[in-house]
Amino acid sequence: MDFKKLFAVIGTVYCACLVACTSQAPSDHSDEHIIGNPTSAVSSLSVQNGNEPQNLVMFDKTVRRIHQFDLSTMQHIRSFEVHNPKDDHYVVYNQNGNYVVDLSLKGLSIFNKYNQANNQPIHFEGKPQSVAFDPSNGYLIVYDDLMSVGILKLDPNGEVLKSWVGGAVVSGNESISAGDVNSAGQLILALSDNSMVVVDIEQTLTQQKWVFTKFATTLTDIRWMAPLTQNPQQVLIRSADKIVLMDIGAQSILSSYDITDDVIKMSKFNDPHVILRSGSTFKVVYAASSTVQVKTLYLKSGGFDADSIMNSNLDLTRDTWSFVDTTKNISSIFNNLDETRADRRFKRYRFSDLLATNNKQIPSQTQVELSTGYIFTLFPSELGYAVRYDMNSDDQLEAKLFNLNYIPAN
Amino acid sequence: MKILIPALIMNFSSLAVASTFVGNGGNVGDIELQVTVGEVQQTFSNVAHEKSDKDLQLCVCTPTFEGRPMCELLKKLNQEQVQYCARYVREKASDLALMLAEKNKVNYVWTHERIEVKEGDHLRGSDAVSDPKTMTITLNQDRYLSMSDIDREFLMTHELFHLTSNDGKLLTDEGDVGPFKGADGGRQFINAMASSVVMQTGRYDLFDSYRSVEHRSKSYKKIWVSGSYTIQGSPSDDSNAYSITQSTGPKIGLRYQFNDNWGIFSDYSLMTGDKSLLTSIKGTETRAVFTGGLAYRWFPFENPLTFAGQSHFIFTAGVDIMSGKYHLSDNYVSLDDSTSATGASVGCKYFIPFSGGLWGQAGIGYSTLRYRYDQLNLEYKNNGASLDLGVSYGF
Repeated sequence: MDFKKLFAVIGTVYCACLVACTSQAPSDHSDEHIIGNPTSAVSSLSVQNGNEPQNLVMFDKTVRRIHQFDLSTMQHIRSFEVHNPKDDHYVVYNQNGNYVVDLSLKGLSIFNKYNQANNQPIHFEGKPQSVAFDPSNGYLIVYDDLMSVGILKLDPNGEVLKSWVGGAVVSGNESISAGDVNSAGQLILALSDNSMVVVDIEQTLTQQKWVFTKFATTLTDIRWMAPLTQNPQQVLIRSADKIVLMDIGAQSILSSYDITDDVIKMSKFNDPHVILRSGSTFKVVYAASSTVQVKTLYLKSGGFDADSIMNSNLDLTRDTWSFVDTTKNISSIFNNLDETRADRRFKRYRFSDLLATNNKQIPSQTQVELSTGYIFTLFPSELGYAVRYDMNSDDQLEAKLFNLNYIPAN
Repeated sequence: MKILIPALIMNFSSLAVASTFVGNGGNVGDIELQVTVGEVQQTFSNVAHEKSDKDLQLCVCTPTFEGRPMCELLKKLNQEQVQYCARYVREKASDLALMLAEKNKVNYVWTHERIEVKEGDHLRGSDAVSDPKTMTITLNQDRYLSMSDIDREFLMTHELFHLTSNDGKLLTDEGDVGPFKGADGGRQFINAMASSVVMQTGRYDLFDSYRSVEHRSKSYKKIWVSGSYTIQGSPSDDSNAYSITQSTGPKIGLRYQFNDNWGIFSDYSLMTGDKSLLTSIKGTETRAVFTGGLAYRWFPFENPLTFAGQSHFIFTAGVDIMSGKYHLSDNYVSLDDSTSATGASVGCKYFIPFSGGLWGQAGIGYSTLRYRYDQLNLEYKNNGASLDLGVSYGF
């Protein structure tokens, strides 16, 4: 008997069984290597300081318009008609400047507070895939699927002051592997040779070429990075086999954790964290006190209940960890509340001791945004219907018929 | 002989109790009277043109009338009376046919008062009375209209023979006339002739030919109710998505005719229009419109015994009072808006007679209703036209 063949068959069957018997579908990592957040994970409510935002801006996929709501009163403020409405659109919003950046597969538009649109302020050949935004400094970085990087500097009213579009090769032959903008206005990039650069955005815009400081790392295949909210010099990095906390000022690794489990979610909302899973074991990896810390949870047997996590929000300041999970299979490794619109539950824990504090069903078929205190749901109503649920009570506030004046006559 | 007593004559002078037959079909009894006159005139004409008395079989009972009282009356006549009766009918037929054909030769007067005639020294109730001096036949309208067509013709023929002379003497109900002897010999003679004429009408199938006229709905009715289905072209604001350009619905109406031409009317319509927008939005507008105003009736054709002659136009002008509701919804939310308005409208309907008092009607209308739904920013600011199809009943 050919034992080699027998072992090969048994091995194949065993591997197939391992995949098939896993309770959660493997995450899709093909959309890693981005700058900032993927467009599908961009939220107008992701404010840097974690405070409750005043306004919410959302692309309504039912009537293909952008709406702005006052989140506290649920008053409909304004609505924009978009270019190429049949394409999906994603919005970035500056709460202070009250301007809206509309990203779609065919470029971007900026609507200022006077509802004036600046269409295609920069030209891309590709389709925007990810975006990094520093509203306090007005820096907007757009990364497309052809690896072009668009850099814009916006004034507080959303007017474009400077812009430049560069290629992915930053230094020598090394191209961008991952990146993000920190709250200090620095564009931090990881390159294909596992080095890192800190880009001087202002000088780059002035000189219309990459201007940066480069340093080497011992990491391999840097796939994702997230500057810490409270300390912009510290960056949580996910490489091929580690999660590390890097100090870009000292150009050194402060702490690291070896990845032995599946990475199922990487979130920058509000404090950067990575969720790992192995069978019934969940691990939340995050940075605190200049070290990488890991909180391990045991699914159900320990009382923790989570299915496929669609969106994760760690707020160390408020000691909360919130997520939306679903019984449906999801594939995105990034936050995406629209991957499925069925059977979604919002859950919130006190992070320090994992006391469950909220557990709410999210209405089916709705587009959802989460803020610190609210769940905003936009129903697929052509006339317009949205409900804001208070996370800490059963209160809810509705907005109705806000599309009334935008229904086309023909 | 029937004689009007003086008091009755005085009563007839009052318009309150008597009215002259107009003959255009727009008054009560016009059609019935014209049918009877037409039947009698045509019968006399046919009799006058018959070549052979044998074919006529005047003053004898014909099989189709077997069993009727008038047949029994004729069976009691002897041969001499039959011949006398037949000769007189044959002799007067031509003159009577011409007299009836000539317009205004005989006057017909309706009354609702009880008619009494003096016979000898006592009064006798009657359904009609004739006055040879004025060539007038007065009929109790209520009694006349309650009779069958055969009885009406018998009555009319009887009164017409009172307008004829026998040897220079007017025929009366009293006294001997030829072989008809006795105090009421005249009545027997006239009744025999009237019965014979009725049977001749039957022989010529004139009852059947006029029966369709009798059954046809008549326009003299005072009160009309109607039900119709209306299509309203709404005055639209094309730039507004919620504009509903057409609505349909039932309309009920009530009209009272003061006279042949003028009347008042009121209509109530409940119009509904729908609209679908995008994939799930449904809009429904319901408008209740009350209209009241004046109606003018016009008969475009003269002969009221024909289908066309009974048909007529009604022109209306009125005031519209409208209340409207607009319900807009999709799968999640809804909106209810309301409005009200007043306006003016004109309309024209053409009525065609069916039978049994029923009429068909078709019409057009034009309304100046202008109104606005504030929540929808929807304004109907142009005039709208409507089409109307339905039935009416006059009574």
